[in-house]
Amino acid sequence: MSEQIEKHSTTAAGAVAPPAEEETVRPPVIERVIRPQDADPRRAKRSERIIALFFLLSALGTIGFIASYVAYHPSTSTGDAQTSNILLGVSLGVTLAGLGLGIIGWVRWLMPAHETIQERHGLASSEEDLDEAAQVVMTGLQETGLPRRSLLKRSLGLSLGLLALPPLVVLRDLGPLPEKKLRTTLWEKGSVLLNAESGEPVKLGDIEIGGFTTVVPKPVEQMTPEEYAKAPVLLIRLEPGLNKPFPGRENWAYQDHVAYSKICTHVGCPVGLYQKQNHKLLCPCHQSTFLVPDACRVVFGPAARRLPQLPITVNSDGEFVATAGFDEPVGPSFWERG
Amino acid sequence: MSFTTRGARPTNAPTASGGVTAPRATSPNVKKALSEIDERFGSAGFLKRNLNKVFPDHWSFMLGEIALYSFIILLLTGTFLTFFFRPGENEVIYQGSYVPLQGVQMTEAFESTLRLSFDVRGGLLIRQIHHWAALLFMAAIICHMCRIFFTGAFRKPRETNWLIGFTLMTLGIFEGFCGYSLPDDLLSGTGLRIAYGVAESIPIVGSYVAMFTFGGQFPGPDLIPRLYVVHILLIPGILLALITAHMLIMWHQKHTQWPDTHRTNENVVGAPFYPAFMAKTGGFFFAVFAACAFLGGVVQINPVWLYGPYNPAQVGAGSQPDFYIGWLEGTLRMMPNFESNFLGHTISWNVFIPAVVAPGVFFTLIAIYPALEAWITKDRALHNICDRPRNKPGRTAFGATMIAYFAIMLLAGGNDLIADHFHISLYATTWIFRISFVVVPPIVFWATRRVCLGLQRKDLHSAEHGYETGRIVMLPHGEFIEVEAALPPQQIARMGLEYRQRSAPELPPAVDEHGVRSPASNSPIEKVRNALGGFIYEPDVGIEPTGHDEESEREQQERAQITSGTD
Amino acid sequence: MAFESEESVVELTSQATPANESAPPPADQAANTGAGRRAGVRKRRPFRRSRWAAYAVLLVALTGVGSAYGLATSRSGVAAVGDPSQQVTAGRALYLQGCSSCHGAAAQGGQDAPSLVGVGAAAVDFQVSTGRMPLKIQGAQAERKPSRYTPEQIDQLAAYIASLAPGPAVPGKEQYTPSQADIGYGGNLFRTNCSSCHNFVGAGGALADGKHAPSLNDATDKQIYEAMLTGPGTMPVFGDKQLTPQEKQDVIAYLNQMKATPDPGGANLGRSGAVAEGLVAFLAGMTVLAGVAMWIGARAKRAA
Repeated sequence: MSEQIEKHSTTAAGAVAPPAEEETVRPPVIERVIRPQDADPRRAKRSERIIALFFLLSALGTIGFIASYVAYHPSTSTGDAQTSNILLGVSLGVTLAGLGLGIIGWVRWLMPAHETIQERHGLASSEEDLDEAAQVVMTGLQETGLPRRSLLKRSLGLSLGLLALPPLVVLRDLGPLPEKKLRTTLWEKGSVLLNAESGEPVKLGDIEIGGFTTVVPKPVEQMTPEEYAKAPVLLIRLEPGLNKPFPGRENWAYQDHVAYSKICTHVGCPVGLYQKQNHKLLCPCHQSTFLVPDACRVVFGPAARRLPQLPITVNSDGEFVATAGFDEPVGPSFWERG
Repeated sequence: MSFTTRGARPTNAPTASGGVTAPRATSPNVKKALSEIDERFGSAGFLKRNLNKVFPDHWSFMLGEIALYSFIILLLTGTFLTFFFRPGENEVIYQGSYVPLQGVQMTEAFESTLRLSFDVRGGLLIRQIHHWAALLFMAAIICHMCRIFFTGAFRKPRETNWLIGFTLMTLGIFEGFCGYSLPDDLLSGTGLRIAYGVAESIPIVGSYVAMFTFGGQFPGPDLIPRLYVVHILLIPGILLALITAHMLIMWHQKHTQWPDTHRTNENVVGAPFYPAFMAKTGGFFFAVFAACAFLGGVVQINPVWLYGPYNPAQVGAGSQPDFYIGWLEGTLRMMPNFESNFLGHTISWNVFIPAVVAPGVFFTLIAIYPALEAWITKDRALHNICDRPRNKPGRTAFGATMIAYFAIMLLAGGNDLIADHFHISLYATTWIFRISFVVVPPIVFWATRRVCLGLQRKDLHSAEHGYETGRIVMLPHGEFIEVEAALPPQQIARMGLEYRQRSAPELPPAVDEHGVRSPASNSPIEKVRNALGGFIYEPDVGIEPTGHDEESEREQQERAQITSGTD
Repeated sequence: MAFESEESVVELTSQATPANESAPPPADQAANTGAGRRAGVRKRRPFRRSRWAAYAVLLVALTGVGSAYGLATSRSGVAAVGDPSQQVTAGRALYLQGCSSCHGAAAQGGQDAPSLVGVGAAAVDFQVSTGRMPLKIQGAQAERKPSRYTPEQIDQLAAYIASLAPGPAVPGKEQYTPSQADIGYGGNLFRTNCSSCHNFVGAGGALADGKHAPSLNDATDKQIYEAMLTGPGTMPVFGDKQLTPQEKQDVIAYLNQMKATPDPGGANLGRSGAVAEGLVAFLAGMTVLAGVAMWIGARAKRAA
């Protein structure tokens, strides 16, 4: 390509024929660009000094980085952590920016800016090469004997096809089969409603009217993370007479206290947002809204199902207990759910 | 550039013709060094060709470099992070130096992240640089992809690179998701819970997919370690291989270039790789790194200590994922609550459609677009010149529509923050986005197309009539005209007028002269092709009549005389 | 002053010259008391000024002036050091002036405002000290603004409302000031009960129906305690048996710690999460880098 020298004489400031030797090893120039730095050596020297300044700044940045590293330790205090981070980051930034801007300045001001040209030489090979390549492929194929030997071909196909299976088979134990796991939680008849944070049983009278709390069937440290993830339940105390029980669930509430699963039926975020005045539970993730007095019916948002309700009562010690587990799977829906 | 030779000190002063004098004789040392390598690898020809390779010069060609350099920064900072991060799910009590979490129970993953941030010097900086670089990586990929799309640089011979790039984008999204979920904090843990719910929603196999990916019910005992392996080994390995392939293909095929004087489909005009382009791109690498370093030092990102360790009973208001997942958050929020129950089975359309089907459709459209456009236009030619977006209105409008969809989905993902900041009712924002999703993109399509056609007309007018100089001249016969001067040829060349989309090709008649039905006319595929072509093809944008067509020849001569003497 | 004995008075009067019966008694005091009566008027018990009378008058006068002074300057403190009924009366006057137009003359509530009977002094203290009440404009919810009442006036209002029916009392300083607080545990409590409305560190968040959970950055310890105790607006009620005073202190301590803790990573973007970060990546990161790219690719300046 460098042998074909196409001289394009269109320039911005008049055509100047370049010396021939310069072009023999480099791509041909089609437009000479004469910058102030090219015309005036003093200007070029000035540009060099500016670039040197950038590089010097970069060096200072490195020193600053090391100094900051030594001077501040984040474990002393959060304030020191902040100072350390800012100083390290800014000094590193100065180091890199100095280097980067210096190099870019070097290219733009001092390296030749001429427009050079290069032929693309068409990607496609010659017709002969293509023919020969095809012939090589075909001849090789004939040499394998595959086109003639269908028994070979088919048995090979069988073997290779089956070979894809072991890598898939060994993935079987990546996880357990769903079976009934998604259907059950730890909640069952007699589970005491324990405050999720303190682990203490919640007693009748602990919750004020308009209050709510998160409860779990066992202390958190006694549950596996998988059991705990489905266990949180909201115990809400409504104003007297407000609750409209779902048909068949008349005795699932206890003196205006109702219990619903905290796990949203949309995609599983905890529904922590209780609005006392309109008795709505709002899930902060995607704004599914459940109306508590109406058995957590969905009134807005992408959730399609009510929150599962936990039937509760109070035992002889005044503690809230569940009278049964949930009657439906908790959390997001899945194919086999029913 | 001159090489220092033993003894002689060549002058570095620039000559009057610009550039330094090339040395007559090559340095014996350099040749010796090259010869050592050449004897083992036969590399001299390779070096000569590739060091001379010409790269075109335009800032829009450097967007992909931002992604490339962000990736390198991610590798470097990520390696540092692996020296400290522990992907363990066992619970520990925090005893480190961050006061508000002292005594709190948390997983080892979270604890090691806190230790890295508060007890390792530079640890927080490198963590933040890593995360900012990840955001820049995805942002640059999107901008780069848009540039490739709007300039038609995905056409033959670059279809493979488009597919590789598309794969890089999807892998990048997944990689980022795994990465920010590693610290096991409350915000990212909520995202993992949502991912589990999304997996469950897949019909038939959903619960199996969820259980096998997570290793059981949520959260799964192997979740963080699996995310770790995917994040530091599997995906980076694939990314590295694909990026290498991406660059090699681009290197071999040479870069596209904008239409301009001297530039044709068969050449490349610009600066040689060595030293100019190398220096430019090297300097740019440092600039990208500097940007990441400044951001990492000065702007806080992903402060996991504020979110606290993950707890499935806890959640924070205003929980959003990183933006490259945020658009999926938006679809989940916008979708109405459709669910079907039948024969003991449930299909959660409210989750499946926004989180599985919608991205599937979106990504499929992106992946197949080059093939689709080539099929519609029956274009088999090689294209090395970039299209100006205005010259291909159908494609540009389609791209703008996809961006409109993406923007609406992304904004919907933050609807609660928008509601809080701008004092709009929360439910109203959901409805605004639902309606916008349906109504706005078609309007964007139509409007973009009209704008492109208008810009084409303006270009044609300028090319034909030149630009208005502002000088008013009275012709001898009394008419006042504004003198228009011809545009410089370079500017006209840059308009790329010869690369505009032409009108739809002539369809063969349904029935030829012998009464034989043409096979193409009845096929439903051909009907689809023609229908889609209606979006791509445009009637040739004509040049507006200037009103001078009625002039006599004498008047035209007078005009030419007067206008020709002006610049 | 010396008084003569009765005998001497009697003697004087007996020695008096016989005067006309109708003659007015002489101006002389001694003759008045004695002679006038003796001279034909029915005998009356004489007025006697005790020698201690002066002291008695002095004592009564001092006591009276002192009590009046004390009553006039007594302070109506929370502990009702002053006369409680005075507090309530003053509070009622303030109430009638500033609150009754919405809440009713007897705090029974109205079309636009709930009943205040039984809300307790703590609720009044919270609402009025944060300036939410009196309500500026009917809207989705009351917003925090500078309080219109002095602390004394707020105490009086609170006393009046508390007098209507029992309700949560204003917490004492030792109740709401965190002492020996477990900040980590407080954070856990906050994230379970509060962060889904108020955001991870109390920066606030959107609720349904046009409402929002406000930022907690301006709230004092007392106000946070009262808010948990009384559940203002649509916020749920966290009674002291559900969230014990110590646990409330833990939450307050956590919030104070979060407010006081600097952000080690740099500018905190409102502690609002990934949306702001994404905006910064695009608007700051990409534009700056695109700018650098434009500089790199820009047309070289030609020599003149």
